[in-house]
Amino acid sequence: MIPDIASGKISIENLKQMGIDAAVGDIKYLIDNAYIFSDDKSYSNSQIFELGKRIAGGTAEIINAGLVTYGMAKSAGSISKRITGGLAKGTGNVLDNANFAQKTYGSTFSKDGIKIYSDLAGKPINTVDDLANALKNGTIKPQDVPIDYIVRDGNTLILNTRSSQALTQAGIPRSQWNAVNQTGNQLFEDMLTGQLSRNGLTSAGTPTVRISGGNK
Amino acid sequence: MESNKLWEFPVPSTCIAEGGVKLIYPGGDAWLLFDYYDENKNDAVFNSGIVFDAVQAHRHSSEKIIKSLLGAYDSLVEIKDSEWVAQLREVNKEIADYWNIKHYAIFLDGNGLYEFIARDYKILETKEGSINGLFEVK
Repeated sequence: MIPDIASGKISIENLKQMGIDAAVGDIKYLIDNAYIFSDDKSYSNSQIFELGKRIAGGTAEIINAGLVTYGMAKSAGSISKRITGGLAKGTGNVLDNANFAQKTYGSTFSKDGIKIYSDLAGKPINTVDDLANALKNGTIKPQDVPIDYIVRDGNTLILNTRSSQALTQAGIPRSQWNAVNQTGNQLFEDMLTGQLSRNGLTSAGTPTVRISGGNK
Repeated sequence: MESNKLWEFPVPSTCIAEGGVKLIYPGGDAWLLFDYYDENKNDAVFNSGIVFDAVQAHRHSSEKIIKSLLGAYDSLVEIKDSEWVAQLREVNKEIADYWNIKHYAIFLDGNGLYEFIARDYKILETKEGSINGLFEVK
């Protein structure tokens, strides 16, 4: 059933109708066999068992429909994150439509970034290109590169511009990024406010960033 | 914690150029030097800095382990009613009064929070070009 839902063969309306049909069928069976209860001498153990199965089956079908619906919603984006993040854009990975909080970036990582990535790789990782190459050849895994983000006013904003550029450059889809939700963390919220404000951006951020000439 | 803004970094600190920020403290005064590129000037690189006068204490915290920006994102601020100043004054009121110590702070994106207990500060003249090469450790 799930592949049919994913491919669009079964819509949410179809799904609802299937649940209703299943429940109606079971109720109809109960009504048709109501005589069992009207005469406490006329039923057999197997008939009681069959009724029990029908009742349990109907309930299970309804629960199953609910679970499938939940699964669909979950695959379309984490429900809890969408609630806590307000009306976050995107229906797939949380970072699919994420923007940046700065307009340009330097090619060289911060001193801390250089130490962390160099330790991981066992060789110097100074620039976005270095990290992209390490990701491409598997020296560093995508999960080793956390990408902090904040959801503000329904917009998802990336805080680690250079690391995200390296992941993009390495051809790693955003669905495989190690996204870390820092929404509500006052320090990160303040840093985001600073970045947006100083870069003359609104809470929508910017979908593109440019590498600066100053760091080359 | 109340802070008084004294100066703003000339560009967003996300535009600090390769080499980042250099802190030099040979004793007496402390020099916080930086290169940055200016997006509005074709990414030309400039250098400038802040000199803290008669430094009695200083500290640097990575941006990952600070609790608060102290209102100092891209800004040099003076922290009013500073607990740090109060502690130092308690240790030696005479010296604290002699130097008329104040608590200065500036947070620079990707570089962290720099704090100084000093008498005064001065902004260096901005010059075109990089100072990075002068301090490379081979």
